[in-house]
Amino acid sequence: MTASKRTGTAFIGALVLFCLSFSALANSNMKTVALEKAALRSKPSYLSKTVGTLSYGDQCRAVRKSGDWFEVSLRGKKGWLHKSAFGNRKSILKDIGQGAEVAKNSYKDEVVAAGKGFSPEFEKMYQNQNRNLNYHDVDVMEGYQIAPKFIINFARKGGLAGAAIKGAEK
Amino acid sequence: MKRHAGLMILVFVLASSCAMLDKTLVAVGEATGNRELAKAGADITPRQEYYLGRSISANVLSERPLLKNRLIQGYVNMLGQYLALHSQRPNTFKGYRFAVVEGEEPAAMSAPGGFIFVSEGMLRALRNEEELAAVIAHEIAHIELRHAEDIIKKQKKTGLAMQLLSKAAKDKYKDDVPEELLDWGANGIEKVLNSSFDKNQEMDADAGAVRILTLAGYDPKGMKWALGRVKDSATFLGRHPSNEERVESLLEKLKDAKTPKYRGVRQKRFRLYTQKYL
Repeated sequence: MTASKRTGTAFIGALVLFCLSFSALANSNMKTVALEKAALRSKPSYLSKTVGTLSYGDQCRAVRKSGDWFEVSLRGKKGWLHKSAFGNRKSILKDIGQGAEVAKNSYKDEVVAAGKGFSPEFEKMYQNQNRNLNYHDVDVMEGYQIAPKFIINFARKGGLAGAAIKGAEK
Repeated sequence: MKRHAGLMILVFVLASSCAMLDKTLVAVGEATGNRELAKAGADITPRQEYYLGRSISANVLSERPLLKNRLIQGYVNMLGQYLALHSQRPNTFKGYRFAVVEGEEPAAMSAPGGFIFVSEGMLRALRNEEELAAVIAHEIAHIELRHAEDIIKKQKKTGLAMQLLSKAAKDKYKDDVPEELLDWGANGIEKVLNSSFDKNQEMDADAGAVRILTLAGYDPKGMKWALGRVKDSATFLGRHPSNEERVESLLEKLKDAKTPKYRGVRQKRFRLYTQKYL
């Protein structure tokens, strides 16, 4: 092989490697929302203003990172989400019935259904067979919601200055 | 049809051994021409974790209903939400929820998805807010570390096998057979309720609690003090390693712990809620 051919091969190799790396980077910027409702924050802090909401299974693009927080954008909405708000794309899409497999193969529909496991449908069946279970109190418990300003107030009155509330608006 | 009958036997025989379950799913996946099947149960999604947690919580609350005291519930929820913000997993599918339940026995428990319970007896047994924060932080750490997930994963794989069995039965009898699905789900709930976390998981949750407490500004020694207030096995249904062992494993982590300010202010607040309002 001549020197010019070797240079050409090396160049093509480097180009392929660059394209592969770029593609991997682009994919790693896509995030799947793993929360029922994810509040987009104006700053990388739980106690900053909510500027929008994303839903379970939404695919958003991370445009910036600050510590454990990502600034994401989707359909004109932009804001910050903590890394724990994201999950495994494939399993979440299966969970909400948007996996590519669903459309392709009806038998796989059943597998997807099996994969859903614990779901509102399962809960209904389980509840019907176990009438003594106290789902009422579970619902009451789920109603215990605390606004961020009360959490900040609770911390300040107790002389607590934890990392998560530093810089929180008064 | 014969293929499905054979499949049913295969599922029954192989699924009867938990250790063989992965191989079973691979075998069944191959038999049905669906290799993805064996992998299908690998992930527990946040949504599934939440619905499982709801059903486990419904079991716990049928034995120990919510304490009807809005002030106490508000106090414990504010404390819990504040601590959760300092965990490595501040988000769950629908967020953390905390509850004080009836019962004089000191106990605390978490369910997947972010449901955390503390008994009225536990509040009475503890002496200050640092100790209550430690008990709650320990339960948050179990959720953060997804300790219930292993139990569920095993159960879910069984569920897939059972669903295939249901599919085979449906083809054979032209009838919908959802009971198998219900059975495995019910078994999963029972297993989580009756399974205790192992010693390492408990120690990891203690270490996680120390980290959460420190970040939140509480005195992490609260973990050691709380263990001194209650007997061993202070969960509702599980069994923990002895408190003595747990304290011993914490000593190294607490060696350099600083005593934060305003502990007296928090102690006063704790007493107000637990002595005046409880």
